[in-house]
Amino acid sequence: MARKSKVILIVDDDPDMRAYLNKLLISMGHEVYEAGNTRTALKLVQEVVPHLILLDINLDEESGFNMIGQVRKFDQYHRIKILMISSLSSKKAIDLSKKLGTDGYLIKPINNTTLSTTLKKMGPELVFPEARNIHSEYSQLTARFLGSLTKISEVSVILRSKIKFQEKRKIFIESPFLKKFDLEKTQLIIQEFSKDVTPGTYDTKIQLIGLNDNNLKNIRKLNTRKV
Amino acid sequence: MAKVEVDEELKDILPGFLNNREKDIETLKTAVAANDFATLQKVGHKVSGSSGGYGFDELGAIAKNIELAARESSLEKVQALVQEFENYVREIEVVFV
Amino acid sequence: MSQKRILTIDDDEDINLLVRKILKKHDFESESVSKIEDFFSKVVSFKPHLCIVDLNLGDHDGFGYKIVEMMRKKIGNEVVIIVMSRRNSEADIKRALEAGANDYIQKPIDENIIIAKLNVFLDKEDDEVQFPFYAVPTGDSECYFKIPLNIYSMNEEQITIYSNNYIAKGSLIELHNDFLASRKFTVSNVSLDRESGGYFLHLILDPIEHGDLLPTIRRIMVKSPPLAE
Repeated sequence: MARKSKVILIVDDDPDMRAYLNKLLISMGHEVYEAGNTRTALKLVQEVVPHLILLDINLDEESGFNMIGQVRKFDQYHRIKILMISSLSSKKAIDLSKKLGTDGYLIKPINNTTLSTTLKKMGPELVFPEARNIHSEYSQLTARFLGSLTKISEVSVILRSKIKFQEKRKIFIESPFLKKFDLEKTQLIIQEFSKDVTPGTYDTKIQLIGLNDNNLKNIRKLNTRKV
Repeated sequence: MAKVEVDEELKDILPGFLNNREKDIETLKTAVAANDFATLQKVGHKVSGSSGGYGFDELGAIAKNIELAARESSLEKVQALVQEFENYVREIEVVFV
Repeated sequence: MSQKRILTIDDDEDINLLVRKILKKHDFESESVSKIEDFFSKVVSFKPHLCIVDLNLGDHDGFGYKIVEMMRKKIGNEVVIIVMSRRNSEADIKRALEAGANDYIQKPIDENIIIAKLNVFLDKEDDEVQFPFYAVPTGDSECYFKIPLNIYSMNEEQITIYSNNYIAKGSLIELHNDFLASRKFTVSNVSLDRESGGYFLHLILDPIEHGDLLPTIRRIMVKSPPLAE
């Protein structure tokens, strides 16, 4: 279930209008940002990525229309909704809103009720659709887990963890034990699929690749604690 | 003394609003002296838009009239309205509800 | 059951003999060559599953690496290659693995070690050759391990990660990439992906702990194209 609190950007060159809308929106529980001009507004859009922009269509010396175009460049799939604030009549506002490609309008003077009703109606629209086609730049990651190395032989080591491996892949382990035995650079490859120890805990046998005779000597020294 | 009821929620932003209206009085007077109808229109339009929210409907109406009069380039009308604007701002008593 | 074929190359014929003997004992089919010229024609005719390559062949110091490289280029990754050497240099081992070798053993050849490795690489069960395990001292046993994973989907409430391997619910997972920079999450739910046999790990975003990630998450959501219909 999407959070009720939305991130909203107010773009209006009148500081009183901004203060007023800010107050109303904060008391509704939203996270609010303000901009008095297009430049600041666009910077904020990229920084905070709001769900909704309230845009005064008569920005002093600037064109609200331009701003909409710039937002769409950043947000080409039209996820960020824009409500235009205007003093025009309802009919004129509808037409202008359609022409500019905004998602609706608010007519001044804006009161608490109108604002909250409009936002309530937009509710589902203010939820960004789940991202599935994520660029590999953001989707690829390395995951790090806590585990323990319980046993070691001359050819393998046992890792106990909460992962049940079912592929024989390369694995990277940071271990003070391996470091002590000069095995930190050793390549490790999962040798067998993990075996259950208890529900949620698994033992995985891992191949030690490329050991030289020093490494083997050190491992054999552990003989006193044969398991 | 005109009394205006303002939502208690707006208590902390109201001083800023009134301060800006004081500044507007100066701007309007200067614009009248210079026959600057463009500025008169702009300020009138702006104040008519924001006043309503704060609860100052009467002020909003005065501002709207300033905008319209400026559009018609009617200097006498504008002068009178700017005076009304100034009186209103200086005389209002705000009651928080 | 068909035997696995092993091809050995060492310029020392005694070594070749020893290895062949060991391999025969453990039910492997084996051949050996001592000259480089003979090696590749033998690969073609004998079709080994695994090759044991001496790194220091004759006068050509380091020709073993060339053989490994050429094998990978010409034959590919199917054939397992284990290199062997008298020296115990880390640099040698690293170079061999980088050239494409699967593992390294040091001479003098230890029968148990070579057989154990052959069994692992060729998926052969052999109860005879089992190395004893020694306990790792408890003070040193804790470790961290890393595996690469991919984000399958994300929204403002949770990040869903795809994993080929099952990761138990409740696991603490630390994610690293440019935008997640070492953030910790708990796996709140794990579901099965019937299509691929892998798993989806659901990581719930905590508003306090992960709140600062939300603008970046929204940015990624905004930039991600909708799924094709």
